[in-house]
Amino acid sequence: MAMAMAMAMEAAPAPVPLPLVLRFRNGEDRFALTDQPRQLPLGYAIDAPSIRSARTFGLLDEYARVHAQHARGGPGAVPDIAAWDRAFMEREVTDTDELHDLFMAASTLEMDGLSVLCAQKTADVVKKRTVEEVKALLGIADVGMTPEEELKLQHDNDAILCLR
Amino acid sequence: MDGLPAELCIKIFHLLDHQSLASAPQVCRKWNTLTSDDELWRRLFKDRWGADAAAFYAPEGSRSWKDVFIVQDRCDRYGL
Repeated sequence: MAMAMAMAMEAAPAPVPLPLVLRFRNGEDRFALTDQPRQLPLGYAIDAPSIRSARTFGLLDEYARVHAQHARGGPGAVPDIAAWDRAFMEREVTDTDELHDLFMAASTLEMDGLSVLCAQKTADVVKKRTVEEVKALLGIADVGMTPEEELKLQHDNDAILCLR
Repeated sequence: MDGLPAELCIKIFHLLDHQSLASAPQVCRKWNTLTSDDELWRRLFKDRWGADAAAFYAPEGSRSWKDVFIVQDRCDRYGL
């Protein structure tokens, strides 16, 4: 089931990302920040089918808060935001469903930094792994090709890598 | 992950090397289609052989950047 959200912008000093009030279909309010507030449609509901769980929303919220705090500086901010990013992805994104949901959510909300982290994590899964391993790891069961097509691609692949 | 829209898949593919991109088409039909993207292979070519070579070897007619990359890669390995 898709979730719809209404948003209200609040005043905040630039260049800190603006706070965002998200009102879920069930009437619950959440607060979040976004990297590119001006591109968000003001006051209109947007569809966010990828935010299917409180866990995904919680991750978006944590990421946004820590990055906003880091942008402000001060004693509470993490000293090394890149290291925090790596630790965050390692700690929180432990299965492909969560990776998928977070990637979709970050991209839908145009949180580019988080979207890039998700893309990189997926790319790291793909690199240096066989086709079968990639399918298994990313949960791709329906290849959508006939065995003949797969065989032809295998030949093409071998030709490119000069394996035969 | 097979539910990812095309633009997010392309984003991932730009982070891969040519060996991974070569085998990615076998993962599923959508990946087969998307990994042929000319911009992907043009960038890989330019990163590896430079902008001048990319301008010189730019594909004409119906040839693709992937084809050009493959030929150049073979030349590097076996000579002309």
